[in-house]
Amino acid sequence: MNFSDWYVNLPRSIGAGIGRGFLLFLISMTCFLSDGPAQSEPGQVSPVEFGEKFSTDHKVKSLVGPSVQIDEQSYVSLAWMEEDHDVRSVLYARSAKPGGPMGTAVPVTGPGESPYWRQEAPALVLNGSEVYVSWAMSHPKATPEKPFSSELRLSKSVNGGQDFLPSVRVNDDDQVINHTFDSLHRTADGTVHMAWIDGREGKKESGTFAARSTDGGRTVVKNVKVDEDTCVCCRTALTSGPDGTLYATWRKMFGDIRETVVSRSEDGGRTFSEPVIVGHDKWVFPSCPHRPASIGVDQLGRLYVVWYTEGADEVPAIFVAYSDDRGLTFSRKQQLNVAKGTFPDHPQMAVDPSGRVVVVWEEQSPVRRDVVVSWSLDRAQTFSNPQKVNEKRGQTPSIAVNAQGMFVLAWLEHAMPGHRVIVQTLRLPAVKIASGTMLTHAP
Amino acid sequence: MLHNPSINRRTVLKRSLVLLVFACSLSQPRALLAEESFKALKIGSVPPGTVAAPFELKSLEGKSVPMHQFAGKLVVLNFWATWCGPCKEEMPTFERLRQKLDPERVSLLTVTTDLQRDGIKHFLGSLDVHLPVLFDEDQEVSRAYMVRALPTTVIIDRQGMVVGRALGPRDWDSPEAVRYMEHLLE
Repeated sequence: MNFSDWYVNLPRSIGAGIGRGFLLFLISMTCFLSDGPAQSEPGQVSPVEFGEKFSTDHKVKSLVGPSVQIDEQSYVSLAWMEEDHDVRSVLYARSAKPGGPMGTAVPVTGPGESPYWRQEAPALVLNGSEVYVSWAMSHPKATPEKPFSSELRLSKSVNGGQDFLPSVRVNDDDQVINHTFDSLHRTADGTVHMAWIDGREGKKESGTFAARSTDGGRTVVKNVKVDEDTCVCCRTALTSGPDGTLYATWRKMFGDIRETVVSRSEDGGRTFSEPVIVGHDKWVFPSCPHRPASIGVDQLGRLYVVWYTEGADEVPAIFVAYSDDRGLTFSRKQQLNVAKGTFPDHPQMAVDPSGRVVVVWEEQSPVRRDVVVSWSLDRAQTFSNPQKVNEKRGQTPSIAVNAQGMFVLAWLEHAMPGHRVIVQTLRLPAVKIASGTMLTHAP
Repeated sequence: MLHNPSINRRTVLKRSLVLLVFACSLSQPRALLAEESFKALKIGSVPPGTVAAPFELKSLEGKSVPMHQFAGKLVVLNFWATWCGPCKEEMPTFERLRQKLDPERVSLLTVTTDLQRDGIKHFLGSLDVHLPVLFDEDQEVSRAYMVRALPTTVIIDRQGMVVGRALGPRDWDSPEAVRYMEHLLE
């Protein structure tokens, strides 16, 4: 059943006795998702350890995000955008203790810096006490003729996020166009890599661009074009492998077909390979899906990709696939969403060195928006049943992991008259991978 | 003139037949044209009786705009965002469609989750587009209408029922689109 059929048949499925009123239909939809995490059988050891949930209320008009990271001591970092009283800001907070609660919010944006809005949360990476945040700023040279334009900015803190230095511009063109849907990644050598989408070449379709900073965010090198015919509103993502290979993913347009692709750089982001299609979804979609892919690599170099597609049959789905040859070919894709009556959306993934993979995404209906999490302990061969983690209506989940294998989830919940950001850690059982070596700390 | 009942009956029958054929010749092509327009526009069908979700959103001018304000009208809801290229490309076609339809009977509304108020004002002004913009700040209306991608256009008939959905951009001022709208107004 494709999306159109699903949508068409939904009211019928409710039954004639209830009628086909839309409101009743919405109410009926609420019973489709199960509540709360799956319970273990008595006597069984819980397969995972969810940490305490820590929430922060933001009594502001709008909030976009959050993005989350976790450092090696399990201190949690968040970045997000807020708007209140017509003032927009990018903000950062670090947890007061490992795992939370979150500390005081610190402004990332300086006076006069107004973020472009709503397209994505700011991107965030950590490097010891250094915190990097990339975000799109409303273009200072925007004109009435070109109002929807933005510069990509990189902000840095050198003191663990207590304050931020003035931002630097990432895009090296002066065009008054959009430079956004950005991603950030720090490689082992400390280089900060950035990827984003812009239309500087003036072609009908935008392109994927990349840049890097090798001096701790003070300067950004010449921008590199990675590819063209990029789907204009699906965010880029970056990661790197143990051999230093840098990977970028985005959604590429082949006419009206939308495919998630991966490109790799073996020279530290100077050049990128031709993109490789991951799932061969053949999704014909002549508009903006606005749904990014997410990538990660384990210590044996297996590259994992999770993405959203509706495929040739227009069924909304979240898939995962992996590559053992550095993105040249990909495994058969595996569907992760299982819920009936809701749509999966916005998947994000984190992979720890031992190949434990955690994917978080939304399950949506017209009246419900849940955040669910699923994990694999066998390098994406099998995944757990998705478990709901939100209490109120949840959205825009984000996930990260540190080298010790401590995962952290963050998402947004509605908390009228404001917004609530939730963080929660997740520890998975230790696993062995091919070498037979115990690679991670047991819980 | 002689009164012949059999001739009279035959005449009546003939005239009725002619009238029937004439009526069919009028209504059939219209229905067919509407059907063809529907197909040409690739409008996704929605089951009869699907009630449009109510909403109340703020306009560009900050006024509250409740859905019931459009009761009895054909309503076209266009969901878009400033970062969506195809959305911006199709916007002028909505303006031209607006000009071709009776504003007393049809309301074309654009809905965005974006918050670039000034930019949107300039953008629409530069294109000479005079469509109302409603801000779906919490994305509740987008979700109620199952907006999965942008642009998405939802068509609500005069009885307040959702009768069609179009995913992706269209030439909304094409003869097919105008014919489709006029058909919905019949």
